[in-house]
Amino acid sequence: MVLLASIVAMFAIFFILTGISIKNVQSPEVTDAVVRGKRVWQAKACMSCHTILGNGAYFGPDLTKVVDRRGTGWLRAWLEDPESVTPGTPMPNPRLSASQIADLVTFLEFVNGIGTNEWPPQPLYVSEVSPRLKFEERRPQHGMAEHPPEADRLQNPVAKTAESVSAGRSLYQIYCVSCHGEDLRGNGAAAAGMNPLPSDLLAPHAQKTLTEGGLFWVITNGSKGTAMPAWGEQISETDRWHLVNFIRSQGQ
Amino acid sequence: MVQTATSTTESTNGSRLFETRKIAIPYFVAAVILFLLQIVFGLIGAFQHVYPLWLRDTNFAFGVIRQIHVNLAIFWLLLGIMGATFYILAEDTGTELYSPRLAWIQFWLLVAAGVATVISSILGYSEGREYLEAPRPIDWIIVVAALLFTYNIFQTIRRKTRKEWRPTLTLLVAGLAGLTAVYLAGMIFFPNLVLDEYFRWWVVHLWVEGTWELIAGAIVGFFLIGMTGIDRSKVARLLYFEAALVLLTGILGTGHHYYWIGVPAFWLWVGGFFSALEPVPLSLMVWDTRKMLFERTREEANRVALLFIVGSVVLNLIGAGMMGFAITLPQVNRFTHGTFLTPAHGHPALFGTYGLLILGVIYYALPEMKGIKRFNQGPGVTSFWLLVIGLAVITGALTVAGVIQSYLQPVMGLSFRDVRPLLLPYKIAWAIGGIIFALGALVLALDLWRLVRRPAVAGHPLESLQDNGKKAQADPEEALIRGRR
Repeated sequence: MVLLASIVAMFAIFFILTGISIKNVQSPEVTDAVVRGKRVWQAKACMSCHTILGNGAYFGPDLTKVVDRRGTGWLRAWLEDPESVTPGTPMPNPRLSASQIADLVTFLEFVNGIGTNEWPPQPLYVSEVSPRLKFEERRPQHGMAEHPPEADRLQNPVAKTAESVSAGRSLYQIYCVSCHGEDLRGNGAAAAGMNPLPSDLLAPHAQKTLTEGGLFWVITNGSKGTAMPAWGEQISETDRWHLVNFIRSQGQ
Repeated sequence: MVQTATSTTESTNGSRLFETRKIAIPYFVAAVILFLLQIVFGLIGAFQHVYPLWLRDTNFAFGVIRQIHVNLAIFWLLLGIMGATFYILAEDTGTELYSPRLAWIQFWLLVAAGVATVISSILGYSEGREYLEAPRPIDWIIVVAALLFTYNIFQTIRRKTRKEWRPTLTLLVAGLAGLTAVYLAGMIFFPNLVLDEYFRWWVVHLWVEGTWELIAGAIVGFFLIGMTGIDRSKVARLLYFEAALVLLTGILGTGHHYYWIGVPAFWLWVGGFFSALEPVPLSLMVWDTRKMLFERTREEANRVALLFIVGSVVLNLIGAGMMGFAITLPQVNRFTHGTFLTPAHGHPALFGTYGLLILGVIYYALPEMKGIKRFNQGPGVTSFWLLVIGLAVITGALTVAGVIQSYLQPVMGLSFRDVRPLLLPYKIAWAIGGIIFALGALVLALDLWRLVRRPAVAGHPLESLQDNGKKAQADPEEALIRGRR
């Protein structure tokens, strides 16, 4: 029958188009980290509250372009503890390890780069009401420095005594305060116009997620892509540990 | 009782009327129980939309609730479809089911899979892909059950004694085989999210807008033919034509899920064009249902079942066809994708098309297999209208919320967080609709329970299902005339 032939033809066309689609996927490269991140995304059932590529649930916002909207720094802080970023948020704490967060963020960066045929659409109008406007506009976020895994194995040889903390405070006033601010929140005078902003040293990332070795490594080697210099040449090793002790003491 | 033009193998009171059809009953019971459970989770979810912090830090946070709500829908409808198939198969093949034992195994497998899905969601295990959240081991259980089912149906059809081949059999076989095959596509892990989404939609779309439509067409066709007494051969060609149209529009219509997921833009043309045509077979179904009712040669006594079944055809058009069409064109979908307009389509489509149908089949099968010819139909009709009104309120609330969202977010550029508080009144309306709906379901469940407890007439398949061992009555109408039990 003509109808049966048409149905078979439809299937055939569909399979051909599927083949074409598979060969012309419009996405960034799928790295191991992206795949790990996808597994985290699935294991935590994020799609049960959020949409991604517009599909999923409608309890939370669409996450296709969240990296564009918020930046990876903000995202990491959010995933560590949503409540601390936005008190009263409907999002429960996803209880992710640091490596899971890193992978998930990589996955979301991947999704952000998918060629969605221009979805979500650019707003036809720009609203005066909301400060969160077009997707190109990124409000500068406080940076969260990264470090190689070996850094975690560095042991702090300097005991966290009052003298050490005091020494660290003095060092902070010399080297750090202009960017990281008197209150350590990353809003020093020199921070204006920076993107990313200097780290908020009281945030969970600096206080809990980073090990002391990691923190030490960042002070020593700086943070690529940011204005954080490598202090290893200018500040002695012991002094750098004093700084670590001081910074951590402020987090209590 | 279903009266057909050729009734050579049915018997009247006093002899076995395809005994094995009663295997449908456990399927129906499980379906209704899971339906009620789905509503419970739906209500919790609706309240969480209104009070988002409720249960946030427990194992019953919104994400868990939503997963369970959505997966229970699939389970209860699947159980209902299988039960309905077992019920109508005997009539169309003229023979008993090949293996009731396999059907029981299949039943317990599916119940286990359903329970396991709920528990694993609560415990935090999920495959994390919308509608396919059941962890992989459970997927396999479902596949085994589906294969057992297909085998059983196949063997039964092979042994059919009716000379003619009825169109419902074609649709059932095609639908069920397709259902199983496409489910497998959803069980693959794709490292690339784009491909993940591509094949996930094979399952979701080619289920509810493809294979399930064929099965529903078969079931609706079966009952309308029986209830209106219209000659089967007249309807057969139309049934085949409608089924063909469903496939012709639906296969490439899958493309309407491919606009924005990262595949080439030709899908906007292909998917847009074909999915825009998907309401055509659905309109045809409404038209020919109406025609059959107008030209009917007999009066169906079971008005409740008729109401549910005709209701499902109408809501198929409104919920799936019209609400779907409203959001399917890419020019529109660009702005409505990911908003509340999607569930505004999804709820009436899924429950309207398949939920009402299954409930109608149950309302038909239960009294029929007990030999109960008359029963108080008031509660059944009431439950239908409560369900439909509740559904209408849900749909309306979500539509308004979705339109507002589509305007303020992508068009005006406001953020999700800014728009959310503006939608609160509609989420409250959504919850109210859910409560009305739940009331309808409660009435329905109680009414079906009442029917279950009515003693069966001797010689009917459910004679053995007695309430407290009461003996089968010779004539149940005594109880009916007295009204309430």
